[in-house]
Amino acid sequence: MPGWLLSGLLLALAGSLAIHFASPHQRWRPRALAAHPARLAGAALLVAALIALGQVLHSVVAVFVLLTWLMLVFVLLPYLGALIGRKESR
Amino acid sequence: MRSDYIRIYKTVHTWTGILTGMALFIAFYAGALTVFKEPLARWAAAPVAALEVPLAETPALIAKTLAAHPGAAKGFQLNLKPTEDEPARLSWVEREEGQDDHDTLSGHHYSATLDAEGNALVSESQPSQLAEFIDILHRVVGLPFDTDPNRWLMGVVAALYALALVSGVIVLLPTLVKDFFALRLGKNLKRMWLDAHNVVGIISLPFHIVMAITAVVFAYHDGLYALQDKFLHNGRLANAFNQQRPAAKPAPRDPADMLPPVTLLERAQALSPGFEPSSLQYVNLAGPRAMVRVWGTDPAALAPRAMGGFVALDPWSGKVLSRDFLPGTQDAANTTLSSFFALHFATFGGTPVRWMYFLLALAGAWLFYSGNLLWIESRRKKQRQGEALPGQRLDTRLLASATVGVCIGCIAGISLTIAAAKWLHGHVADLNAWHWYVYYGVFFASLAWAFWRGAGRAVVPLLWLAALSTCSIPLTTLLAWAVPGLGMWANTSLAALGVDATALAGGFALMWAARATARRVRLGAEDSVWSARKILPSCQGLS
Repeated sequence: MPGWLLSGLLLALAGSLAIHFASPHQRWRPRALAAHPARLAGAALLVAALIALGQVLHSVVAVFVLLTWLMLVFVLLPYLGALIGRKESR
Repeated sequence: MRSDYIRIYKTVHTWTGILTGMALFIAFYAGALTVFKEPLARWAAAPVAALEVPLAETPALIAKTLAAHPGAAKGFQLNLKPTEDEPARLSWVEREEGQDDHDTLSGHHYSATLDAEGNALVSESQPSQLAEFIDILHRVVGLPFDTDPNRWLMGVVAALYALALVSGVIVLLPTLVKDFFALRLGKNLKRMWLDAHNVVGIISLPFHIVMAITAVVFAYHDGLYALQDKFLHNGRLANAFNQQRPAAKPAPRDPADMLPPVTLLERAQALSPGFEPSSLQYVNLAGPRAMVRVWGTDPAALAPRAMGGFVALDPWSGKVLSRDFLPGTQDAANTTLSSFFALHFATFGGTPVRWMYFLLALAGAWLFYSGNLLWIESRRKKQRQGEALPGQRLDTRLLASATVGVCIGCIAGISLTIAAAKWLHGHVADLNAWHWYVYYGVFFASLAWAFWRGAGRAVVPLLWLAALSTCSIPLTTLLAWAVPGLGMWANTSLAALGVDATALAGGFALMWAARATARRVRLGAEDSVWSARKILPSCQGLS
């Protein structure tokens, strides 16, 4: 996988985590992150991810890849959080 | 929004979901596997001893093959990177006259190579249709053949699916922001299934909208072209495509005078430096509009078709006939149109995006399964304190049985028919027909078992069947490698081993699901169709 593609996906993952951790429904951490700073940081990371993806992909493809990756990550995070939360509550 | 409107949309969402959910489960589960159609085909391909022909010698191979087998001039393919499922440098399929364009299963498959003396060796083969069979299950929601009526039915299912998406979003609007990312586990099972359903449905909504729209278009594209011809082109659409046809029939040209493939590849790559060719498709060499399509992909661009994109060249002069489908050089209009294909087929972003689509498609299958679970849970008759255990409604019992029978039967059937590609090879006359028999045999047996035993008592054995069937895929490969005398094979390309590794992971995931479900069946609420602890007359299956 080209370095820029990997960087873009990792930046997007970091941005998604920041946004998800700011949600009152997140189950990963004992307390949610402060909403505004975390969402702002998440959005900045997503922009950086798009820029990184744009280095090796056509712009329309970079947008498609980012959206596809975000959908997958945002679907998985609540499920993984529920698993983590259940283990911790045992 | 007024609550009575929400209620109407909820009813629409419920019924469209119930009507189409199980068909869509099959379409999405088979679709997830179809994302990796080529690795599946490579996994299932029996090894053959193919004489390798260097690319530089392919002009001789083409000329000698056409001399020995003129029928190949209608269309043949030159593989640049021979694989387990396409081992020969040159191959083609001869179809019967009047055969349906969508029929990808019929026809005679041939391949050609050069022997030590430089003579063309043409042989007929029967390649495995396993991957194509799974693709058909995906394309026509579990029906056995990709025919017009089955596609139209799929179109109806896809339209209802679109309606379910729209109505589902409207129902969710009042609590969309408040409940975003919510997945609340606990005693309120209805709330849990609702959250589990909504998380997937709302977050992957764009993915599902693309799938619903493209599926409707794929179902009715023949009809759409016919309407376009009638109302926009006054029945002259075919003529519009034939405007390039020369007035006088040109003299037949000698295939031996065609430009060598190496030169054609250079022409194609000069048009788009990022283009990576994979095959050359020669079409109508004996006709007036002969062409060669240089197929391939561009890692940076989207590809307009499932197998990539192409540039069409004149095989004799190398003149560009069309570059509308060449990845990386398409204009805005063609890129827009191609985007719909690319977004359906995952032909952008390479292998990472294919994995994302694989997982999103599995999540989609879960969306439909969890929708049914939610419907059943919402209609559960709860036991009141001090009262006898109530019987559950007939419709919930029937839907629970149908859900586990269809969905888990589909998983088990597909897994076993994949494993059968190696177990039955050489033991049955028509292995491709046996893929149908194995899949539908397991599928209908699972369904019958679910109705006979009732969902609560059938679900765990069915999950174990699906888990073991899925694990049988890598175990078959392992056995083939360890005991060569069995007559099976273990393809060791990364693509083929990837199938084994994925199946192993899937098998373990199903085992985990079986154990978790067994716990629920054993310890969960007794006033549920999923409880197997107590057999009440009204809680039994249909036996």
